Amino acid sequence: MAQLELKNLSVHFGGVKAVQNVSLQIEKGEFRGLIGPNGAGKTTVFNAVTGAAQPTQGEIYFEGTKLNGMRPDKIAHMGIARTFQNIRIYPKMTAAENVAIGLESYPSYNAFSAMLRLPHVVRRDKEIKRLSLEYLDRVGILEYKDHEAGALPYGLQRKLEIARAMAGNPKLLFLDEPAAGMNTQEGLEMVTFLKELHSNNTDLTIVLIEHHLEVVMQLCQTINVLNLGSLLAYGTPKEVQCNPDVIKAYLGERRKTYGE
Amino acid sequence: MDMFLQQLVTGISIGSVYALLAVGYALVFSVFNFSNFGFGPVMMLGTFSAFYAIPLLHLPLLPSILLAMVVAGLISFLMELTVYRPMRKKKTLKLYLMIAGLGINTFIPNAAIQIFGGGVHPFPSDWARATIQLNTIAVPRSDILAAVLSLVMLAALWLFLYKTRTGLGIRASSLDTDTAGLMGINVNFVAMIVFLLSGAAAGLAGCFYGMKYSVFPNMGAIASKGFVASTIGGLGSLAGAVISGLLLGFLETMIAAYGSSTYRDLIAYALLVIVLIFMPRGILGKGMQDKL
Amino acid sequence: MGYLEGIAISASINIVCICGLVILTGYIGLFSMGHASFMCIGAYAAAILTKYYSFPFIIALLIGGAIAALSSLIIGVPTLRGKMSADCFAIATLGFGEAVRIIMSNISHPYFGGARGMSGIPAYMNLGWALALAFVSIVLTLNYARSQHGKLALAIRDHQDASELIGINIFREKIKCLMYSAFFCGIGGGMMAHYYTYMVPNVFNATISNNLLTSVVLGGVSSVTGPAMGTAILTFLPEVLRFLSNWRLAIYGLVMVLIMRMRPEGLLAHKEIHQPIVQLVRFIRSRTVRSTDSGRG
Repeated sequence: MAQLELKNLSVHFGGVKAVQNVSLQIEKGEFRGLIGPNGAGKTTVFNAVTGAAQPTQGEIYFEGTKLNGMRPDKIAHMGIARTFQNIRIYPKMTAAENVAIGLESYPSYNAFSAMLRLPHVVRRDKEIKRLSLEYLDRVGILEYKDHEAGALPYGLQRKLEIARAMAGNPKLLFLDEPAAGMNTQEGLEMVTFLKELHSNNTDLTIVLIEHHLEVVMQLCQTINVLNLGSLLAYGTPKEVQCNPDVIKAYLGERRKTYGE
Repeated sequence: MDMFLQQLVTGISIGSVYALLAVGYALVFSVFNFSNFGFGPVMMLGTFSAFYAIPLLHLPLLPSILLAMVVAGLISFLMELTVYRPMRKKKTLKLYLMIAGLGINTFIPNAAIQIFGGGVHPFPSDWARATIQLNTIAVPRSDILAAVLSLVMLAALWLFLYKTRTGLGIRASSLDTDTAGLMGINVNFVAMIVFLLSGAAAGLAGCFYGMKYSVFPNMGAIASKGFVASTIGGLGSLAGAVISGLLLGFLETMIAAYGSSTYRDLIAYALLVIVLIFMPRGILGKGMQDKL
Repeated sequence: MGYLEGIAISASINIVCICGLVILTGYIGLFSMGHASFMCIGAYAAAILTKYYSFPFIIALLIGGAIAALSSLIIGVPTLRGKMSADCFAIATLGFGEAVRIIMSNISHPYFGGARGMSGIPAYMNLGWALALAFVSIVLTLNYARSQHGKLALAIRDHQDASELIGINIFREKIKCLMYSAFFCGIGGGMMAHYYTYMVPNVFNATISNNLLTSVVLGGVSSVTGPAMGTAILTFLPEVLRFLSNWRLAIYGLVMVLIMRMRPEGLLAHKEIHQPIVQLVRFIRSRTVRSTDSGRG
């Protein structure tokens, strides 16, 4: 059984058919790419799975459990984490505190113990701090632990978001354009970083939305191509690159390179 | 039956006051996604301008109502210009915009008490106070005027929003302010129109409220009922605002007449809680979601 | 002395209430136009317990706070569900404030006394109690604010939708903050009742709610000691500036607008008063440790 399964998923906003009858399966440990021109409905697929948008039709199953209508925080606690196309870090918190939110989004001690700052609260807070630093270290931004997150450079904010997502110990990680807005150098670094992330966490399934074809081609084992809300093609990077429909869909768009 | 008709007329006239106020809130909310909590003072100042203009300038009733609308519109726009616009430019949290509005709502009425005095005055129009005999019931002229002019104002507003280019721009902005800005719609111009219009609605509502009850510096507090109506109707929905404003006026009058008047002022809030339990977005509300 | 003592007690009572509102407004980003109602509920509950049932003062205060916290669910549950906007919550609190005032004025039970209110409440409140309770409230709130509960509240204030996708239960966190704020306002109300020994429902009006909000706004968001200082200033200042007393409320409003306009995060945003002292102590300690180390070396 696939880890994540979309069955005939459609998401409509008023008259806009953002996603139309999409079915796909993703296996555990896969590195899947989700590509397509602007407005193809990629982020909407993420939103539907993570509970940010309600499916109009179709079903979403994660490890056999139906996700339709489930509250977003519950979906997250089933082991689905994500990053955001428009970065959503907490600007006034430090990098370490940002990670701590992902680490403990349901507080493990109650409000009364917190007010009295009982010994187990102190212990747990120290533990949270230690683990947060560990995750920062894993994405290589440990040195910025006490920096205000909003003041970090763009690329580091992206990494911080990934660290926060990883801190929830997910089984499935959605990355929404992690290389967006980066220059060539930063983009290449991100590719290397994601490669390492996947090889260090073999059980982790990663789904990557990316506009830059080069990034997806280097990272993903298989790719789904979306166009105008519907699935256009599926296959290995090579197959997809040669698919005439895909070329046609992308030809309409200016070919984008890093640094734009 | 006569009593019912009498109450119905009262309900419609107070309902049209609520509807106008609710539309004022909804206009601002539909474009900027925040509620202008400084709306009560706009209504109060507009009414006071008519209150002073009638005896001092010997203005007839209709021009003085028009004056109230203009003054209220300008004050509303001034608020946008000096407080809200600079804050929006800094992209502050919505919370801060609302608290600023609340500050205005504390500042202006309390300053007005010091300047105009805290007294409660009747609206200085004998014409409006007179009643007309309709069949078996006596209807104050002010009630009829309120119903008619509110209807005219709402109809004009509808024509403006749905039949003109500027109106189209406003509706586009209400769907998505950021994108509208990108598409060449001048957001500041839209803001000006929206605040002027909502202020004018408040000025009109204030005059009717003044005729029906009285003119005093804290009369702006009634605007909170308009806000309740716009929340019940669905934040940002103009049609919802009108419907629930009228509904609220009707319910309030009927319950006060046939039930107890002790809790008259709580009817609005009770209705709010009940509607929110069953329809979290109000009757015709638009959904709001962060663009992720 | 009695005069200054009176002001100090009023300031302490306000600080206790502010401690609750700091979590609601400065942390989770909701604001209330009717928290005087929770003071009212706490005041009546505590006063009835001490006057008619001879409860110990502190127990009565705590029960009053708890009842206020429970009553906050009445507005919290319908308006905080489904990620509704803060506007709904604000207007509902205004309505709740009115409702509590009107209902309290119309309860005919002799304990409550209707619009004439309660009198003959035991005068348990004194400067010692006031300062102690204010101090404890500040410490408890500082602890709460720095805990994971406080952090989650801040997260929701900044990015509500994203926070929910990260795994935060928005509704539960908001309700928790609301109950926290109502609890402390309830305690503050109880303190007030046992200080003045009489009260009428009309005391707990929108002006009090507004003054509380002004203090929080003045003191700064994500700070506990800032707003506590803010309310102390706002309690003392009118006594100093008596000649302006008629303009007091207008000035409060103007201050609120100006702060939002110039420095919306308030005077002490994201900072606590004692932080420099703590840092200084740490610095001195590190110096002395180093010097003794080098002495040994």
